[in-house]
Amino acid sequence: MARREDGRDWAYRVDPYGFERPEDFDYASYEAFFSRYLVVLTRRAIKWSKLLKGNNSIQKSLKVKRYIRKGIPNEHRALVWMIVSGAQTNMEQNPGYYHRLLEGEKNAKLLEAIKTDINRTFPDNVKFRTTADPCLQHALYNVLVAYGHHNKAVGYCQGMNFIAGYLILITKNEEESFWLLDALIGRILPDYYSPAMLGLKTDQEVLGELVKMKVPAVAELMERHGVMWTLVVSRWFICLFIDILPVETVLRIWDCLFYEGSKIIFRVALTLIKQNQAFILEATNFPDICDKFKQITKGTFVTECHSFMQKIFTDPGSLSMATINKLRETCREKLLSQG
Amino acid sequence: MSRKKAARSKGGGAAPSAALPPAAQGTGRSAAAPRGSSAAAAAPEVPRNGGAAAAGRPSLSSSGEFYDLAFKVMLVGDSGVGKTCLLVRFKDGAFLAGSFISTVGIDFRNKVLTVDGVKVKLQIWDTAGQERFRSVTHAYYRDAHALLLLYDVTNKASFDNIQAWLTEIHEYAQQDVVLMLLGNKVDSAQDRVVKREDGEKLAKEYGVPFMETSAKSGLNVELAFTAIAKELKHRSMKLPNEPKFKLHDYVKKEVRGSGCCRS
Repeated sequence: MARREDGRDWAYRVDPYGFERPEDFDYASYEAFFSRYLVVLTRRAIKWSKLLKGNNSIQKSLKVKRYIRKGIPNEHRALVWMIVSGAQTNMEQNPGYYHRLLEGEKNAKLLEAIKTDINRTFPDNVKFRTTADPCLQHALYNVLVAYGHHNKAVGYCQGMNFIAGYLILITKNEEESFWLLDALIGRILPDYYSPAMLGLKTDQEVLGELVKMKVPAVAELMERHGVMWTLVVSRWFICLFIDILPVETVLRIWDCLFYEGSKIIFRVALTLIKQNQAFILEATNFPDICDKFKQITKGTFVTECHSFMQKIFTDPGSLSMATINKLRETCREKLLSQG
Repeated sequence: MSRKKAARSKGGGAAPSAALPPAAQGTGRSAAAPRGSSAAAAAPEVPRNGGAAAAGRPSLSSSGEFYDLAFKVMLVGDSGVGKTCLLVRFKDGAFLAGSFISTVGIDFRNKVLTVDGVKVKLQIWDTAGQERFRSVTHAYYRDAHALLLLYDVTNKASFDNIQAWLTEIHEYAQQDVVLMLLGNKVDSAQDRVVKREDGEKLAKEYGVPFMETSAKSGLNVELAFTAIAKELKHRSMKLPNEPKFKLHDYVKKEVRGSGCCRS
């Protein structure tokens, strides 16, 4: 990609998080959206300042849940994620733990696996370039190495590099990123990243079951053409929509993920599928279906993150944790019996 | 349902076709259909019960390109050996240093190439190399017509793991899968730790065609895919008087060396 540093519009080629906008980025429609969204952001910022006034603590409540669903302002995002996920508490109860992990003995194989991916994490982000100062590759390496030695059962799984990368971009702090990664992998998500990836496989099947219930025509199409869910949605789960959906939308999803847990992923997936049902059903063959699933993650519907986030709580209808847990149980058993 | 059909039959009415998936072949698996045909999990393109082929009418791929035959090729090998780079080099003729991200899960791209006047569509599957993803990806092996197994000549471990990959392939892929071993990144002459002879020796041991490639310079990339396509095309529509296509010989004849030691 030719980086243009000539014109005055260079700043617009890189988004606020450091990601270069693609060549075909639709500036006009993005600006139209953003000018509207700016009003929302301003209103939310005022509300949040009041909520957090003086004391940087948050108690779980319906009001906080509502606030989070409407988006955490970027200046408070790291703090709120830390608090609602329990990462803050863990960090405070284990002072120095992160640094001890980095100073301790290392597993050479683990380091090798992480090194292989450091250069391959967000090459489209200027802050991750080796020419950047500071270059976030170092922080990324540290966070992944520390986590791999903290959670030896998981170690390092591809996909974690992207998640840790986002955490570093938002918190701008290695230690906080480590504890947030721990909250996600250790508590919020089922075992997506452990070597057997059973949690991932289970949730892909659970999504299949939910689609059967809520968007049966799409489930039938997948079945008819023998498309396994893992083929079209594995990255949705493993990367938590990074590089699938626009950055701002991903962050809004993560706001809810940290507060409400992993069922948010199903809400997002179901909304994407349901909203695009007619479009997906146009597919007449296997590659077509795969292609449709790529296309439904693009365009104004997902870029307009505020209305998208409203839709995920209405479109898929009711989705209780009890339903998900029950489905998880049956799907896991089925997978285990298949060996 | 798709009406996509395979093979424009040049050899007469037998319509030997190898379109994806083999399960769709009405008459099953002759030489024309090198794949097993159990109700495969991934069954692209053609309805499973797809009987008679509309011989003489090429198919239209989803990108709108016509083709006569379609095959599924998979790229496998350790994480970071250059699978995605090789695919992008072949598909788009490009290599952008430092622009690749690690592949998570599995993905595919199509490319149609012309082999002896026949349009062959390769559906090329790119997989995550990390070991734990294998339990996700090996479900796709059984539908693959060809596998390109890569190692990185600057990474000894990736070469040492080739045997493990071969074991995995034996277990999950079809017996008659077309297999080729590629030693990638030969442009990094300074960092090379696996000699070409080592690759050749291993390949010979397993009876697999071998070549060294560079996704960066493009060396032998086109050849690797073309050779695969030729082999698959010959298998699926062999004319009675046509001499047998010998993949090994073809590769030996066409392969280019990476530097001074071979022209």
